[in-house]
Amino acid sequence: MSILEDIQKQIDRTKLSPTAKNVGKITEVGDGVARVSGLSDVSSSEIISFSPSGPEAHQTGGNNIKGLALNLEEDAVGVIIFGDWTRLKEGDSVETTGNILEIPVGDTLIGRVIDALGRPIDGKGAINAKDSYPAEKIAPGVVFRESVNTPLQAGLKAIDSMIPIGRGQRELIIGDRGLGKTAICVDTIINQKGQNVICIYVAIGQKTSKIAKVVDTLNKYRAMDHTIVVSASAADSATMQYVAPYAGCAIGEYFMDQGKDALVIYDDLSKHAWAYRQISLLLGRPSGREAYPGDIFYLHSRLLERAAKMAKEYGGGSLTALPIIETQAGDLSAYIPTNVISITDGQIYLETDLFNAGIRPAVNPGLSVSRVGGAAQTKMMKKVAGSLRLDLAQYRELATFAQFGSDLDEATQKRLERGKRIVEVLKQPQYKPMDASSQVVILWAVNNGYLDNVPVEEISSTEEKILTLLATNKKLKDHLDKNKEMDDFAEKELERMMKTVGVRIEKPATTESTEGQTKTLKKSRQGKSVSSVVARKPKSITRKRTKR
Amino acid sequence: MKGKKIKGLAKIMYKKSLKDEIVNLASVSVILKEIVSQKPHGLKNILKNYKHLIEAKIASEELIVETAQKTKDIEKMEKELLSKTGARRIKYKIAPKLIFGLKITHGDFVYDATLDSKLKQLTTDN
Repeated sequence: MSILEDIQKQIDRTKLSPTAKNVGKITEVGDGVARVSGLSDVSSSEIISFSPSGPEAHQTGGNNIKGLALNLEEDAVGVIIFGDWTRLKEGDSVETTGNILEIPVGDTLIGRVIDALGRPIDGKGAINAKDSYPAEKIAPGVVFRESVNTPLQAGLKAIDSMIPIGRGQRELIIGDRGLGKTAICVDTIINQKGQNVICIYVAIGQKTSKIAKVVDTLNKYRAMDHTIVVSASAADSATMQYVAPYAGCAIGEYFMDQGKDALVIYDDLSKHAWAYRQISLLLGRPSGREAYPGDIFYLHSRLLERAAKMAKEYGGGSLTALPIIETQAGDLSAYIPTNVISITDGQIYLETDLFNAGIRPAVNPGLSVSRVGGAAQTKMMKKVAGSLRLDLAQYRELATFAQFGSDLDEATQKRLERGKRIVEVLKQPQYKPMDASSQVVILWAVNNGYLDNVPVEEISSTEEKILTLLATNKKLKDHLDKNKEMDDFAEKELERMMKTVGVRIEKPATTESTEGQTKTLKKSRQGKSVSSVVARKPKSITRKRTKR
Repeated sequence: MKGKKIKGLAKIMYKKSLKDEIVNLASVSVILKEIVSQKPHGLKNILKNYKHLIEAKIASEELIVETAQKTKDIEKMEKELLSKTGARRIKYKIAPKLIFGLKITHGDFVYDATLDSKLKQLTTDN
């Protein structure tokens, strides 16, 4: 009975009106691209349906091969094929469908792994998505937007303090292979737990093993509960890789339109550009610099423009984009990197030297910027991070000079020591994102010179001590979480906490000298001897070097 | 000869073989004889392009009406069909495969109201 009902339902659902079709024939097919004659009524980026002929096609069930009309020429249409193009032959019939490319969207997608067309590939059964969004859509206009004002916590001290990301921002993550670009993104996804952010990880041209690893990690840290993975691996056709980021963006837009916050990670856009270059060359489009087609800039700009922070009257949702670009030998001035740098609202630049020196995340604070994220930073973070960047920049500069110089004055040595500790504090292990208040406490401690007396090797253990103490001090933590401001109460409480940990200021910090700090200075005497030992270290190193 | 020149030449030939916007078979044969005797570079491609253009034109001039059985009623609508589609002539075909109904093909447009297509619609995913 139920089967009969099912059939009846299906028959009822189908529209059995006379159809008007526009048909054509394949004149050429190969490498995932077909040229089709006829189809005089086709529109650009319309879905095309292929009907493979021959006994094999009959066996496999006929015409479920779809394509996308990209090139409309005078007497032919260039179509890119989703699926198995090897089943198609010259002379096979083709028809238009009247639909543009749409991706199923909805809450049911959360926690799933899908391909570029929204079909599940995680073996967890069908996805019953009620809505669908067009893959290509014009970005929301000026009226619909407002400026970025809410932070998106990456959970990494180096990023949240110096290169803050706001909801609705586009922040590029750029660097050579194997420097932890994906790691930053995965940490960011893990850190969004309980932050009401839906994350969409779009893998473009990645190894399937790597995608599986990412999904595994996300599962392990229970981050798949708020994540959707769109996968177009290196084994998928260039067509799928080309469509994948647009699909991810469409899914993100759905959540944005619901008034929610979404984060899309495009990992990575250089492979997307390669896929598009392949398609363009096969379609016979004229090539330009590095053989990329002329519209390669528009390819990325129209995708990243769709990231937005919507105004309150339009739902107030947001779509944050974190595109990744892989550079070759740190070359930032290549075609695609410069393009995407100019499109985005800033970049996080990862450097090989830093990575090899054990500084992970290997963020270069000099070349990394966030053009709009500062507006979204919380007050407490702004206060502690303000001098951080400057101190670090000064340290970098001095560190290079200190390698040549023999004798350094005390102020320089202090700066170097502080810099070393800042660098040490900004290191963070993978999969251990930190909440904003913990970050602020650690950065406050190093900024105010509480860690100046601690040997560099012991920084991480001291940091842990401080954090465990903070976890027990609920009053302070709640205060920071709630007010997001570094006020007198918080500072006094922190000073008390530092005493408990056993770290003291040796001298008032040059950047911020408050009464509280001078008081602690008077009290601390032991600290001096420790610091002088630490301060001598670079001298001895430089002497050795000059002897050589 | 390059692709653009070949296409250009095929187009000129095509335009010359039209008379009152209809393909004139007499002029087609004259043009073919001439081009074959001249043997220009890339003759094969020129002819291929030319064939393509002529075929498309002929297809647009012709209306193919397919039915499962012979019907008389359809011929009543002949005039209307021709005026609406802009075709010059109608070809009738009998295809028992269609089971029931009517299918009209005009160039690359197909208007399908047969039982066969309806059954096919039911079997597809949509």
